[in-house]
Amino acid sequence: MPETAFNYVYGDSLLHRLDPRTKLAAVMCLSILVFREESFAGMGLLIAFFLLLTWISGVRLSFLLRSVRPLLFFIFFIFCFQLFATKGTPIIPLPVLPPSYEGLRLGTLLALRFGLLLLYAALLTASTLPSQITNGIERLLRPLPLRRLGVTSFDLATMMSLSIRFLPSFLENAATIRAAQLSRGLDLRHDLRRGTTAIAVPLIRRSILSAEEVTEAMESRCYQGQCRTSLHELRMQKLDWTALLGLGVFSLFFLLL
Amino acid sequence: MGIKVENLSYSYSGNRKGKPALENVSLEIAKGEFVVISGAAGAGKSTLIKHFNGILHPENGRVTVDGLETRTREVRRKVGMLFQHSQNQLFEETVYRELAFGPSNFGIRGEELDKRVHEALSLVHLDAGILDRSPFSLSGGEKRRVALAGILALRPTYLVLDEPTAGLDPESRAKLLGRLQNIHQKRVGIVVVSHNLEEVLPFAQKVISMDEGRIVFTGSPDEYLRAGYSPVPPLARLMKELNKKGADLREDIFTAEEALKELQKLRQEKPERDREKSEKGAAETEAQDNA
Repeated sequence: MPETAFNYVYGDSLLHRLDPRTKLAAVMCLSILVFREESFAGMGLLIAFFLLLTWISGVRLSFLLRSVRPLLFFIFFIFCFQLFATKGTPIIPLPVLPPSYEGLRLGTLLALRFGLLLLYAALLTASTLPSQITNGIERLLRPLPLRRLGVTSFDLATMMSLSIRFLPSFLENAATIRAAQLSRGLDLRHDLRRGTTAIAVPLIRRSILSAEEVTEAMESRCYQGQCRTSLHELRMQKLDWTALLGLGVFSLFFLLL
Repeated sequence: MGIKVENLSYSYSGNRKGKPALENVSLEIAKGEFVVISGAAGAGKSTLIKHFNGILHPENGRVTVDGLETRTREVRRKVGMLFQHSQNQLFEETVYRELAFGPSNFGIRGEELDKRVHEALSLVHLDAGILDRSPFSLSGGEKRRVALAGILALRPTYLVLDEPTAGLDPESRAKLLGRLQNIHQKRVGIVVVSHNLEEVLPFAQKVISMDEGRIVFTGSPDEYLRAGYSPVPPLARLMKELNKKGADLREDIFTAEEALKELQKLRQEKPERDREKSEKGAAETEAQDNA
């Protein structure tokens, strides 16, 4: 398997040692800041803060940037849309859809916004094991009255970790089915619609069947989602409270500025 | 002509530092030959056969089929490939359309297509009544046969099968192998990847044994057994063990019939000793009964 986006990078940095709840809270908080920010100076500050955190984590910047790549086209599309569709002073006077300075500003801000959002998320996944993220989310959701809706935070956590666990086998299945259909002469370049059915139908079918198998295997081992214990109970350390305090101060300072 | 592999090396991307999946592999499969590729899991068998019809392309070296590069589309038709868990590849609404999928991808239409579908169906001994049913309503074994027929409808020159008998009951196994033999008699080259040598060795003309991405043996089944490679089919192992105990039997035995013949020879050689033994045994039981 090639190295893909949003992978965990083994390490023992300050960021790796933080409680996943702290990091989840930080990402949420920083995302709000990123979305509220309207000025380039503020964006610069958020970028600088990201670079600082990256430096602390010891994760290579190029690795994190890889997570943005799959969505680069989407971001570019948004940028162009803003550039050409915003009314204002035209950069080049064109009869239809002239690019405007206001559009350029808005587009750049939006592109930076999406980029930063992805990068902060990539930093979270790079410094936190998927199982830890799941644990963190479970603990954060536990006080919510989800039981009234028929699910528990434990159920949600199990679902999440199972989805993560099955991603590799899903990709493997997809590759096998693709190879099988190519062997039957499927030409993806000439008949995309038919190719999509030929691959999607067996793949979805197979996935549902294996989900059923896993359900049966779990039920035969008496799975219940009412209350589950964990091998590694999460505990907030002094480091976490310090980090949260630091983040609070940073956000407050940022909003007042 | 035939499938020709020259100095093929391949490693999966992302694992470049690790061991290559295939290292300097060269082999030739002649037209109409029945070849068995054996080896432990992870030996590179599946990676190798994916090169035969251009699913994978060589990193180093060359693969040609009847002189054609494997990037050519015609190679996909010449080399019919049935992967493991072939029942998972079905997707059409009816069995008919499932069988027509392959040939129609190569532009075959109308009467010719219809002919191919029926021909493929009869090769796997399925009834024409099945054609209007949904492939998902079939049993596991029937799905496999439909998948095989889907490949046969391409009228391949070579048929490559990855662990075709895995997960089948003994009766279906025997039937499948019989069908493969019939197909082979129609001058179709057959390549079977299997680690269950016992059942495929009787049909094989050539055995290729792989280990850690290399070919460690190529030769006839007899030579394979004589060279003392493992795994050895159970019957051949029995002969070997008997020989160790002082018998003088052929060790290149693949079928129960051959084994029986050899064992009968043993009886003729030492009839007296056998009789003595059995008399002695009978006497003992009598003595026990009396006691």
